[in-house]
Amino acid sequence: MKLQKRLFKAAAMLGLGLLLTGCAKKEEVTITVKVPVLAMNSVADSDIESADQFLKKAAEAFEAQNEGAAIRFVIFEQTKEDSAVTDCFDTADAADVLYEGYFNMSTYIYTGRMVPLDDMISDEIRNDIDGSLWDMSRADGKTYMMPYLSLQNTYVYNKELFRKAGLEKYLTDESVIQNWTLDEWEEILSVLKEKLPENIHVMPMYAANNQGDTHTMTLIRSRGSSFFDENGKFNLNTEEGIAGLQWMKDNYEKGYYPPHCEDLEISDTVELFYNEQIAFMIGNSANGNAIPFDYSVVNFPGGEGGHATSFVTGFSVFDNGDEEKVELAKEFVKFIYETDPWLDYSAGAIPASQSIAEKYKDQIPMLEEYYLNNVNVVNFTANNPNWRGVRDTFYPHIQSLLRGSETAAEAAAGLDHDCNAAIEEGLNTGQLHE
Amino acid sequence: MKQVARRPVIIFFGICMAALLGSSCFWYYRQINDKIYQTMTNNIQELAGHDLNAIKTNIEKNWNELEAIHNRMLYYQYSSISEVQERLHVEQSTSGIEKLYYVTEDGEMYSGDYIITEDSNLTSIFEKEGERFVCRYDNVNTDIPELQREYLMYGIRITPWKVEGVVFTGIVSKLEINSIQDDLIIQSYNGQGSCSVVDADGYYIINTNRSLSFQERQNFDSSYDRKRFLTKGQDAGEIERKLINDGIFTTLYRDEAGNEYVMTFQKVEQTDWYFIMQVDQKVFERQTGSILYLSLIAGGLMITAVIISLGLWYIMRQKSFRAKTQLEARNEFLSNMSHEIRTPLNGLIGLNHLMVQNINNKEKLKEYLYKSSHAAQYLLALVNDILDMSKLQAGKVDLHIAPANLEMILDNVISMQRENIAGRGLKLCIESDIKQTWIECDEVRVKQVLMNLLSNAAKFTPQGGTITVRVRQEETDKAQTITNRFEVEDTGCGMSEEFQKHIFEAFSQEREHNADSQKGTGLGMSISYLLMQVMGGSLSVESKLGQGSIFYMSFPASVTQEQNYIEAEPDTDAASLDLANLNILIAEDNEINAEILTEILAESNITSEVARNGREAVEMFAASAPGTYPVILMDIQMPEMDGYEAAKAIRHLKRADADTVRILACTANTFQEDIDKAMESSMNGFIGKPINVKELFLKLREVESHETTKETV
Repeated sequence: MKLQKRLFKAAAMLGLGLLLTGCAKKEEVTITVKVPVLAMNSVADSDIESADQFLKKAAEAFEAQNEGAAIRFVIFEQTKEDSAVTDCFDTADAADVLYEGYFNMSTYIYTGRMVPLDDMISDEIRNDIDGSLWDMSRADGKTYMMPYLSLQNTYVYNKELFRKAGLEKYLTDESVIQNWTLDEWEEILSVLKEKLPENIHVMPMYAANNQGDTHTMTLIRSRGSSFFDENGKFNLNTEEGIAGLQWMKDNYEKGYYPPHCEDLEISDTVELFYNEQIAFMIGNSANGNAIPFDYSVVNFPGGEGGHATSFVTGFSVFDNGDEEKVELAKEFVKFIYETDPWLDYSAGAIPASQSIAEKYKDQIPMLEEYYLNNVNVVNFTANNPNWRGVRDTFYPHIQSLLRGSETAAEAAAGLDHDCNAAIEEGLNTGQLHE
Repeated sequence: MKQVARRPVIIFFGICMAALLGSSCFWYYRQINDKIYQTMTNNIQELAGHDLNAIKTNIEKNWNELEAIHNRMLYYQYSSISEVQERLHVEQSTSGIEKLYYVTEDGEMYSGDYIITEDSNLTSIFEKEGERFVCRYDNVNTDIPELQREYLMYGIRITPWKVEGVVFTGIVSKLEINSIQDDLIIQSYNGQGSCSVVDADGYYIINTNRSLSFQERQNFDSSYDRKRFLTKGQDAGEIERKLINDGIFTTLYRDEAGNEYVMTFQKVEQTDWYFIMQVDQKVFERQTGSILYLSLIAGGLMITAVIISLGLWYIMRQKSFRAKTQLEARNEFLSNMSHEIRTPLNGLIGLNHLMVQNINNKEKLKEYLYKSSHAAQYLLALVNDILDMSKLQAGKVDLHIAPANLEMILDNVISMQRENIAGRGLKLCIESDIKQTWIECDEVRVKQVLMNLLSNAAKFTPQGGTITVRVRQEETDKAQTITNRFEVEDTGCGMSEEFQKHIFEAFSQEREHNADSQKGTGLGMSISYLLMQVMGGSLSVESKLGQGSIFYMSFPASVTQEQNYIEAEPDTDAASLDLANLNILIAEDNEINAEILTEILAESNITSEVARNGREAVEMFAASAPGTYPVILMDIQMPEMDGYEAAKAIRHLKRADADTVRILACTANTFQEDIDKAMESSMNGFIGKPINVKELFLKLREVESHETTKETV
């Protein structure tokens, strides 16, 4: 009995000691970070080719610093965002952190699942990021997204094909973002069509799905359309809007686009460009390293200086009903913004952090040019809710236009009606996180 | 000692039973587990068979579609590759196939999206797979992340087809990597079963585990440590061999977290793929658990039912046994009663007969009358004992606890028995150590028990023997309470062990004794034993046959203060009482009893009149002049109106002596409750039947003196 009592006392003392010294193992909390396949250049780490690679490195460092924290990654193709994000709501596979462009963010914000992040943003970070990026990250005065980097989408063109077509006069050796007038565009496109072989196409166009629609939306502005009215609603059923749509249709009929482009995806046109089977590609600075031939950058046609679109890529945190996970997800995002060198990885695109941009300004390709080109950047979402719904109703009209089943005027009217209805639905049914 | 010896046997038996129960449960659990495992394994293989057929059908459908597309393509004439691609695009758009290609011997790929690429791997795939193939195809070689996709590639070799100098040797389609999944029963067992398909290199073709995301290109080998397969005799090498050679097998797998899974592997025909179905072992455990749970409930219910049945059977048996025993006891009691009552009755009747025969022989007549009186007294004693016994067994005996002198009790009993003992030639020794003389007890009952013990000792001790009475007192834990212990030891014949077990039972008398010993009702010991129990005491015996017996009597009692001792009144001869002035009303329905009573009273010159029932008594009293009847002897059980009612009615009469007339209950109902009821009915006294003449006259004398006092006043 005495031995038993001694053993019991010893075990109790050991347990108490472990408790007091904090030796008891902390329970593991695992969060899921989801990220689409996103090209990424980083001057801070030349090994980085895609966003998930950078995030995995950051996650390893975070896990090493936080006992009991575990991060699981799910990487999905951009065309499979539904199955990766919305289909997983209320399942064990739901995303706790999503890193991607802001295209669908407004939709997710208004599901009420995205968590406001204001409480984790330090003054230093708030002041370091440009106010326009914060504006794009907010809804109803609260910050739901953490901007990490931005990219300007413009056309990238194959200078070699220009040379083959005898268009040297439009080429420049300077690292600038070019801009051509509408007449110049007409000449360039017609010459390329005329001079290049039959299996080499001129301009990219696609409408198989909702991917890459920023390009198509921007092209509609080519004839002076403001795209949105003063309330941020679609306003394409105007002379300028119809003209822009008609120009797209005319280009198809002139053979500038690949045949049956209405069935193509943006990735098909990218593949054609990399195979040197098309002269232009929609791209940004993230693509630069992968292009194996001489290329240059030009704004989309329209306006005085042409048009470009800018999209912000960043982090959002989802509330899946587990407070511990929400806290850990916010800690992870905060870790990236407040711990060296993870903010540095944004340098390659246009860093959201002004201090990082300043730090790497000499190494980021064309950073100055992209800054200067900001004046030509158009806001392609007008911060509307349910942008995913808008995109889903947008591309079928473009398909119809290209197939000839809708005229430009019909397409314009249809776009206004359907896209505005999607926006209304977002306004009426959406809810913010409580 | 016996208990100590039994304990190891009981423990051993208990251990054996526990071991038997445990091993039975374990055996049952194993049997259930094995059966469920077997059943579920069959189910899993059946599900897997369904999925395998779906995969096979899907693959063949895609190959057939490629063949059909190519055949349709050949209907048209083409002057350029672009025309071929144009037509291919139409086929691609209408077929739902994501990407369609014609491929050349060199690995050039011409897509329906007008893309012309080159993949040297295709050449080796065609060479390796032959006429048809299906494989996982990842665009992992491209430097453009957006173009990196996972596909399932189907291909068929075609008869070389030349267009614009390019010779196509195959047609290929690329489909979503998970395009087969829709046709499969992917998840089963409420999400705890899932299936996957891996290729020969271990890469997933189908995987329902969503954590294995794009670009991970997770490999079965990297996901599962083959050393963790648990099936007996199947080491890692054996698993490899089975994977390669056998069509199907099932094994157990334990992951790093210790979770166990049942995994079934089946080869997918026409491919180098393996279909894997994985089910969490917990599913089996749950099923086993449910069945065990139900079995336990069923077993519990069965055991309960058996126990209840046994219990009911036991209760019924006990009831039946008790009823039988009671019946036997009752029969025996009645038999004893009959015997005991018939014996004195026989004496009385016989003596009566002899008296009639010898009516003129005064000497004989006197002798018979004397014996007749003894027989009658015995009969009375017997009836009293039976009544006592009846009350004790019914728990209706009320003790009359009052201060009593223990020494006096002892003296009284000794003096009453001294003559009897001495007359038998026995020596009586008293060893008294009484510390507290005055105690509170039922003196009469204590005397009754002591008398019984002493008379028994005298009865069963042969001449020359000794009877020793010991008395001592012991203090108890309770303040002011002592235990009074009496021992009555004799050197008599003693009792057998067998008889000692029954000595306190009713009508117990050991046979084969002298005739004297047979005198008595056989109830004395039972009554004594029950009386001691009622007093909170005990009565026991130690005896050896031929050596004598010791009876131990003990009872607790409170110590009390010394009381004034009242000298008992000297015995009064009934005949000497002068009650000639009394006129008594007798209420008695039995003519003989009325006559006897009238005659007894007349012997003492007391006048009396008889009423045949209560009502008549009331009427006679009411009709009489006040003071006519100073005493009424009232029977209780009478027709028309009983004694209680009659007494009350008389008390309610509006006349001067209604309240003062002495009404004495004169009844054979002699229980305490009968006495109480008589008093409640405003009667003044109680005379039990058979009437003790001395007692009757004492009561009447009290009335006479009461009357005299009244006159004096």
